[in-house]
Amino acid sequence: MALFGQTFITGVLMGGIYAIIAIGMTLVMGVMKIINLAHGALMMVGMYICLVLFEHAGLHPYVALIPTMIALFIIGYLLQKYSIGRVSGVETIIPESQVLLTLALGLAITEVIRVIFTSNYQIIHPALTGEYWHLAGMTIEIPYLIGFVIATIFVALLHFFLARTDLGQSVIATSQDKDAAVYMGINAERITNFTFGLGTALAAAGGVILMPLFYLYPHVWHPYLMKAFVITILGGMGSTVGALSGGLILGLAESFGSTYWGPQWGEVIGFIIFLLILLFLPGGLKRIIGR
Amino acid sequence: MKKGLLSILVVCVVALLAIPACAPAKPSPAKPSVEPIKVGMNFSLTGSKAKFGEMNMNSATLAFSDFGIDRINDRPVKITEEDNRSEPATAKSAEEKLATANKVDLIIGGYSSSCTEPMTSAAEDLGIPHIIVTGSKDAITGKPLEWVFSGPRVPASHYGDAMWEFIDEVIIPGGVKKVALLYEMTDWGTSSAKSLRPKLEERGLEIVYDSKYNSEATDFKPMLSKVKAADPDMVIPVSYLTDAGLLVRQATGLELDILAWIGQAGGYTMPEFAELAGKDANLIFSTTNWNPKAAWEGTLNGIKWSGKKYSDEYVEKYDTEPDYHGAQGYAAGQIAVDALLRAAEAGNTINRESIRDALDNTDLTTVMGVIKHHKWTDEMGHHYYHQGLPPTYVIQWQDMAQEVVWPEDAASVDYIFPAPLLEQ
Repeated sequence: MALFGQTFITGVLMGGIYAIIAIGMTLVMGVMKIINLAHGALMMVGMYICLVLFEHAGLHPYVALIPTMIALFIIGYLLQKYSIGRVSGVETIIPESQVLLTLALGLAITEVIRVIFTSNYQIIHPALTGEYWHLAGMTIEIPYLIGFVIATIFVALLHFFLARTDLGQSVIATSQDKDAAVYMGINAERITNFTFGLGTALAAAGGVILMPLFYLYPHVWHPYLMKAFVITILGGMGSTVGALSGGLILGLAESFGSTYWGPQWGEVIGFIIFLLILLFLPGGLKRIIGR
Repeated sequence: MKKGLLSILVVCVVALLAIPACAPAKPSPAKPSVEPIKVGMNFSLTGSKAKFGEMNMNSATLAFSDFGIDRINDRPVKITEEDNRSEPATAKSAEEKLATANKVDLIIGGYSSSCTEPMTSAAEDLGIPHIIVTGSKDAITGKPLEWVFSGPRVPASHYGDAMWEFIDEVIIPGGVKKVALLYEMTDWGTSSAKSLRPKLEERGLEIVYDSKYNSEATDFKPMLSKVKAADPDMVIPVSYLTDAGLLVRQATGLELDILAWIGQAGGYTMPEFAELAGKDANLIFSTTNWNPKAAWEGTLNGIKWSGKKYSDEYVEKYDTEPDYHGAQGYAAGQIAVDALLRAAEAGNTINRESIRDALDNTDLTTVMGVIKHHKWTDEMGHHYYHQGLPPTYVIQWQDMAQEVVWPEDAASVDYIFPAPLLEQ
């Protein structure tokens, strides 16, 4: 029973962190209808900013979260405005040039970070790192629990923002029908820039949450980009609750797969679910649960 | 208007470029063409294994500068680097580029087995001598290849040579009966596990958990929960660096109650392991293929060297301590330097054939011990070609530093056993 409980707890906590990383991608995908392949690299930039704030200003990652998110919001906004947005609607030799641009941006950002910080693994040991709660034969890693709580709060805030504020409604309107939104007086270009900035800030939040748990190196983002993509498809584009549900499903699938089928199966099961959703529920969980 | 100006500009540029071609050719003074001796380096300088590849390559190039061979037989020695991005397909194309486009005479390289295997098979196909640095999958030198030489690599089946003696004399008498075997799922991990299993079983140790895992995973708690449920006395993991640190941290967090954790080199001997695992690194054992305290020393090209001197120099130059991956890079450099010098001494033109012949006769003391490229068969029936066998050691992390604890005559401190994860 303790093994089952441990597997469940691990899956839920992992899923929460996956969700916050993915929710930024799902927002961008919802509004811009493109996959942002620079999403993971931007998450990694947030992690390096957090590292610098920890090492030079002594800020605990949970405190550094806000300035890091602000910094990444600005970076994301400017990237969209002056780079990705420029190729929107422009005739190019291949379709979906925005997607290729995000890929190029991701690779370029990684190499620049590698030049600045080298390929060395970086790790910080802030307060609470390596702290555990032991309960009835089960163990909860405290930074994971805090990460999960932060992720859940952000998802709730984002849900509230999208549902209850004018700006949020403009984001939803732009994601539903850009042309109609423009006719209704919404500045779709500004909303797109804002959404990209917000998505980038949320990716950075996911990265910062990982800092007390994991290591940092320029390629750290690779597995998370893939997971974010799976969750986006799983949850449905632009859906906050879908992203949270998708994250939890992926986390639990990986956790139960690893424990009961073997660690090599954890990710395979995640991708099988991904395939099944694409085949039988192409609209993602959003179709079932609504926004 | 703009178009007109542009056309005039293009015509001018073309005309300027054409003038020298129209001029009568001047007889140029005959210059003896000195073709450099080209040494290619094929390493993982970016990607997930960059940390290891950088250390391999920094050390190999350090050997070339230490032994002062910037010229041999009046030919300059030129080093060309290729980054294989830690990807097997790129490793192969990097090897092909070095051999065909750069036309190098010798290639040094290979950190991960998955990259080393395609690069050595390309070297064999293209007829270029290749010195392996780390890639340890048994099968890489298990075929009679003409152009591939083990250099300082230790075959995966022999990483634990010193460990078995330690297990027989310390671990088993200390009460260990049940073992959990965890291994990363690339060639190195699976090849290591394949050789570990029968040796554990023939000692009467029961393997209560046996599983491969993805070294790039970020959370090993599901697997470790299962390990905990299997109640082993000892864990034997085959891990790279990030997984090594996470496994130890997360196993300690899960209160895995064991008598010993014996890593199979890889990440457990990297200086960063202590940083990544924090205080949980203490008391962890690992096999290793090198330690700066090992008393290997000698003279090459008239220049004295020792393991300690290499280590100090590396720290001074790169501000970080090398582990056995660095020593392997340095030893590969020593082997290459020795082969080039011997090829020159024999009065041969230094080319791929003469370098291959020199490597065939390598019998050299390096920072990794004596390396002799020869054909042999081990007690498990594995055949090896052009393969040396550097000695191995068991280290233990004590007070956040690596200490050699076995063999006893090479030990820098006494081992601490039992070595639980919980009481640090």
